[in-house]
Amino acid sequence: MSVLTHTHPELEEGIGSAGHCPACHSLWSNSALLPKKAPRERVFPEGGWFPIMRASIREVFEMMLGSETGPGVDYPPNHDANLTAMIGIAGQLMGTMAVRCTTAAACGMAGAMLGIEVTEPNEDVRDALGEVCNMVAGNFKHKISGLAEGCSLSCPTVISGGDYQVHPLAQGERVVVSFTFQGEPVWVSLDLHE
Amino acid sequence: MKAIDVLIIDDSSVMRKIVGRALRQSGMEMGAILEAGDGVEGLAQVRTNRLDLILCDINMPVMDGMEFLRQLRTEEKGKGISVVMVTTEGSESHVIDAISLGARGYIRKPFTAEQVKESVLGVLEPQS
Repeated sequence: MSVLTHTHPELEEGIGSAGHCPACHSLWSNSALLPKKAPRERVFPEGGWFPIMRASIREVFEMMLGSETGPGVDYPPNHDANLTAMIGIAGQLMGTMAVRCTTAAACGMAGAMLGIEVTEPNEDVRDALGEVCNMVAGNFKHKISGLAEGCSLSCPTVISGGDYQVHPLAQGERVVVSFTFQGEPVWVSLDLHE
Repeated sequence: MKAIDVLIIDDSSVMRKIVGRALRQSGMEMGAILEAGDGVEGLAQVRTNRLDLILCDINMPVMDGMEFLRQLRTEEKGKGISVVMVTTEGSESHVIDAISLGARGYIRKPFTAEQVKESVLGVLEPQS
């Protein structure tokens, strides 16, 4: 057991600073002196998540794809919905947002964004789907008071293949918005962790 | 106003093309429109080209937009280039941080071509 024969520097350089102790050369930081993190406040917008998600989706499609979204479908994603873009949300709101659709819908999105016809699910299609997910998630958090500052997004990930199920390991809430784009179904899901 | 030479920095090639198209449709006389996939590639372009304007994303791998702004200040050829951030991260603190690091404008995704034009004209006109 080591006996501390000197006092480590504290607070001289402000909370959160770090460096070597001049006496024992050990690494020290005064991060332990930071105030205890307040428990996360539960965010729940008046009117619920659904209308905010719908508005976020609509704006992205109208502004970036120059296209209106069509009516939703009354069935869950099937094996044909074989492209998914997913993004992590961390901070005041924790969870994931995912955009899942058919290859035809994803090609249509890339084509609309690039102004060309896209028929094959190539790198541009995955890139476009990831960006759509990124913009919907970013737009969504900007529409909720305080979330723009209190919440961060990860880089999007794109998954190919439709034969999978999502099993969030934390308890929470799931909201799914479906719509059609160029006649093809698209699902945007928000999985929130408590 | 002379033709504007632009660098677009974004890890999404689709987004770089959208921003480039918005610039071409803006009615401004465009010179070269160069692209980079992250801040490191962006700095390399700054060192080898004469640029008037940079449109830069924030969240990027390798070197993000904020670090790019920090390093651009130390580049001799970076002086006098107007930088506009184009990002989903449009929170007040991000805007303040970017402006304190030298950015002159901010465009939040999703955007219209008209918004790109207004932001770009807003930062270029005072200098012309």
